[in-house]
Amino acid sequence: MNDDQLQARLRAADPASGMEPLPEMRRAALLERAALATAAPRRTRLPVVLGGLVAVATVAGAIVLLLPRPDGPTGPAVTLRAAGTDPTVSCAPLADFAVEGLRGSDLALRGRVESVSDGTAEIVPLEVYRGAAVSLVRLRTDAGGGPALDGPVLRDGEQVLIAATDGSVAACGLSGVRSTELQRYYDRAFG
Amino acid sequence: MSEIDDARRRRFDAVARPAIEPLRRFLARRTDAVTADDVLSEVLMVCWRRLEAVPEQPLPWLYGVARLQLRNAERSSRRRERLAARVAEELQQPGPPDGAAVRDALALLRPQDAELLRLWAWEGLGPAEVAAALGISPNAAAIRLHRAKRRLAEVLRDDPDRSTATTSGGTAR
Repeated sequence: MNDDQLQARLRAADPASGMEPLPEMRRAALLERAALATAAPRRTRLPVVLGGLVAVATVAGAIVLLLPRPDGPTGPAVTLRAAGTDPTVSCAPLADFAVEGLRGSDLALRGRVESVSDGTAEIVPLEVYRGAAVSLVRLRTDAGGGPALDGPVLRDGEQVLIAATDGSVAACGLSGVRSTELQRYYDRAFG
Repeated sequence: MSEIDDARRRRFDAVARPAIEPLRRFLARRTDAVTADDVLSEVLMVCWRRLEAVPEQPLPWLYGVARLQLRNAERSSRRRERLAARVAEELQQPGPPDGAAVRDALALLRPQDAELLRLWAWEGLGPAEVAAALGISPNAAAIRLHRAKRRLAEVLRDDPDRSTATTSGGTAR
């Protein structure tokens, strides 16, 4: 086997041969983030994403601090509102910027649903990615039925990933029942 | 923004923008998608910080940075979890049979030989560029590359399952 044949076989085995190029917007965002992150750490938020998140966040309400639990995770408990679905906000563009959107939140955590009753889910934090330590998260919804995050109704024992800004849970797929894909976004945002 | 900042940004754009796709492929060939994204961001940040040190031909230098950043990423425990997930995905989505056979053959070589061959065939680097990426002399790169090719050819020849001839692949880099 000569060099050309060997190279041809290697190239046929190239795991990156089918990769699609990044859209220009993503390339520009990467370059911008590299320059900004070095010039001034934590200035990596995209205004367009923040704008979308704020629009979603305004659908819901405020944060309520409660007393800490005597055992388990330290820090205060917080009450969050699940953001309702705002028909004027399109979620599709946010999917492309999930990582940036998560980085714009002031509280982000992985937790386990301990109980669900009367439209409120109590969630024990297992890992806090962003924000001060909290001992308990109470998640409320304004709508009827059980507490929900972008659709799925929460159940006891489920693990959830939650990001919130000003007491309102980020919607558009940025919060929800833990899945491999959602966990990847969180790992990329806070890892 | 000052004129100096502006000039620096233009220089960074000229260096880094054309390198994004080759770097993405470089990383996709060596790690999982999540780690690749993380490392790409790190490489671009290093490029910005060390812009004055970037040589006239930036790509081999950037591959060298990517290799170091990738090594750092691989030290983390999360890397192991992601790799396990990636292996599970690959098991569910098998690629071309010969591709897997050749990658298996690469895995049987010494890691440094396999990396030389990847840089040569997948990144499309010549011996001098391989040398720049690995931080070795061009002479050493040429000698090691020659040996690595011979070893891979032997592995492919010795195993009937891996000896299938294929058509040439696409453009590298």
